[in-house]
Amino acid sequence: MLENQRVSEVIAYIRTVKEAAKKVYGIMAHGLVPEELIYAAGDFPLRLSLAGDKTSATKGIEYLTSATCSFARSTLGYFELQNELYKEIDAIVAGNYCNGELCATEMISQYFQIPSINIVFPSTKNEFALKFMVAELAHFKEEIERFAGTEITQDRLSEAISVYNEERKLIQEVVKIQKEREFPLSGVECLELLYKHFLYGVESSIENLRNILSELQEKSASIGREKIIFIGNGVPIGDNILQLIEDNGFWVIENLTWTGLDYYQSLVKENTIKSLAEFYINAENSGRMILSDNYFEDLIKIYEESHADGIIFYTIKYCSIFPSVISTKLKQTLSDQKIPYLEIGRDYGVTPDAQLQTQLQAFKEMFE
Amino acid sequence: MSVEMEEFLIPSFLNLNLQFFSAQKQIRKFRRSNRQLVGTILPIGAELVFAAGASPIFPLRIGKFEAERLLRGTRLTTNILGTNLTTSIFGSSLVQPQAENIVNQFLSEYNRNLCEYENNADNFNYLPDVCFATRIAYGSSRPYQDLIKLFLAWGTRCGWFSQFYGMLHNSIPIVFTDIPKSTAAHAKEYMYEELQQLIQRLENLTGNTITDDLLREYTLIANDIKAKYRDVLYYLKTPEKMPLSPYAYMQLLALLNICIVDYLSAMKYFQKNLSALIQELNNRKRIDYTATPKLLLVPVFSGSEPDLPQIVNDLGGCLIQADYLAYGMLDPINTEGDMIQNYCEYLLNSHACWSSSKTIVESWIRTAKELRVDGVIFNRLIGCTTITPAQRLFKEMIRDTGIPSIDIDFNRIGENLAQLKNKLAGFIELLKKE
Repeated sequence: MLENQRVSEVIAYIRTVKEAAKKVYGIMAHGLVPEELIYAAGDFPLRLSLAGDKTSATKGIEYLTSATCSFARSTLGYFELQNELYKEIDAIVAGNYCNGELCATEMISQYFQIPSINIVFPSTKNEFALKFMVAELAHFKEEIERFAGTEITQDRLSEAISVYNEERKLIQEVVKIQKEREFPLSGVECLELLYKHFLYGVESSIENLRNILSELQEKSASIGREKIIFIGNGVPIGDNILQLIEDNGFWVIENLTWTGLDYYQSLVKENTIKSLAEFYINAENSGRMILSDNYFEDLIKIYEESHADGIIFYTIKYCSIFPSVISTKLKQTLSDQKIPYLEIGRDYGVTPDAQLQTQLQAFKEMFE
Repeated sequence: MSVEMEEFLIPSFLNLNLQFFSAQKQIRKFRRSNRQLVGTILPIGAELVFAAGASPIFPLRIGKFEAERLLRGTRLTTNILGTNLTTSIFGSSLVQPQAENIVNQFLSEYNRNLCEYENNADNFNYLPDVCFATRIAYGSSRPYQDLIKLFLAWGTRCGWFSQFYGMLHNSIPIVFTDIPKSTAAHAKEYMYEELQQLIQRLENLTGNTITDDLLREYTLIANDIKAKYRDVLYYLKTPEKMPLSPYAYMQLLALLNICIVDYLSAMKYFQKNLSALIQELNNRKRIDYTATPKLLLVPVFSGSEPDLPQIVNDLGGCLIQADYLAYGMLDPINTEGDMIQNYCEYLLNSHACWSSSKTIVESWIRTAKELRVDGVIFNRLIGCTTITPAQRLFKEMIRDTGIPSIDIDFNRIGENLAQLKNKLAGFIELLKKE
């Protein structure tokens, strides 16, 4: 759960956003919705990224089944609990990233009388899927325009894409310095950079990144810890998994999840809907798709190039994406390559930290 | 359970049952004639496979059924002695227990196979938390990875299905065809291209060309089968004139529910027997169901307790499985003009029937009203994260219709049967009083 002060700050910020006549769009935090279009309409995309406590996850069962992932359940639970931040949402973007997102956004719209704006992602990446995605984004743009009451002109679209690209470039710079200086920022600190975007939007994130970059030169690298690549489920706000990992003597140097920096490793090439479609359809983390073998090959490559010591694969219980194909194939691939690997999972509010700590300590012993 | 042997011995019904249990024999025949096997678990795409000169197979059918020999013996007896004489022999007090044994043996073998598939899935490290349907599909497909040359994989509303296909792909080649969750013009264009690539894969597999005429030919047969399937369901519109006893009727619905997936790998033979069965049913003495509570089970196609029809029957009710009617999968496919275009329309329209929780619930309620059922059983599948979440909405919307409903839980075969029986007993008793 966010600390009260932090919640209050975010809510105060969102209220100033609304005072500026901007509408707030709730989007699930999977990183598949092209926020640029919402920004181009002069509105504010808020990533629904709160999770981690038992109360909200349990409340969500009133709408979803207990076999739905606890992130989706928590998201709904916060609406049921009348979370002050989520009360500010004017519209919900209903995507089909995974079953949890699909059903949670449907229920949010149905039961909390929040208008929904639909977006459909294809389940493949071929040229026809791209063509479909381009048309779907054009349709999504029209829906945003209708809801916002603002036309998204080419100039506005260009500006939005360049602002988001600016943020991506800054993050790429952080990643570059991280590698050059032996990772002075911890995994938790890197995650905080992303949370800034989730809660305060792209402009605040850019400002924050500029400050971080100027401070980064002064930071010293962490020495004597095993360097870890973190994959699997993303880490919503309120989930302390990275903190636990680092408290147990590891250093997360790459976070390859939907709350990771890798999402920013490429740019939207041109100021067009087609380029936006290309960017989002190629996001390897799209849960709708069957992962290509490239995912595993790329992972090995990243592991080797970063000189990491091991990989931690994180799953949120009942996630319909990560524990499945990836888990089975990953075990095989990493075992063939003799790469130290830990699969660790939790159900928010149910799995005690102590249990995770025991697993992490056992993993740590492998290196000693 | 009391079996009306005469119903069981209707030759076309007997043939359909036999066809269901004959997969291994069929496969041997296909191998001799170099006919490729294409796996499928959803009731879409079989026409395309037939048009390519391959045979679709629902892996659930491939298991070993010892009772098949008994059934073949029964058919032989019927062929030699005729139905009437066989019925009187089997119906005599001496032989009746033997007749019941045949049916019981089939059911127990069918259930045993399902349990085996569940165990297979566990042994193959398939996740235990996920839906029954994909667990069974995985457990029944993996052992036959050398026989099945290609598997039809569909991108649907359910993201978990995509993951299931992804896992299966490690052992059986799949052809993944996305059905977008939209009926907009661009979705139709995309669907068209997706179908083209599926056709290409099937053509590459068999070396045959799927012409428009061939696809039309098989679609016409499919339309006829689906129309007859609808006819079987629509008997319920006049409950005072049902053609079979509730138990036999439930068995027929359960059989059709599976047949529609692969048309039992021999579409024309299936059509012939189904046509003969409908003709027979239309000429039979009618049975009055007005005092029998008719219960629609929803959802079905993610899996349900296999003993459920029998439990409901023992309690004096009749269980109706009509998911495919609800989801528009029994709708006819247009056969005029471009057949691929027509098939696209069919896939998109059918998918639209379950594209959101609200449309799913509306589909069930429309079906419940259309079939004039007395109540609805909501089959809460533990592990289903796509359809089961519609439960709350279902409860609210069904309440407004005045149709009584009840929830039951289902996770693994045979779990909590006593509790299930008690729950249903109370519900059915209540309906009888009403």
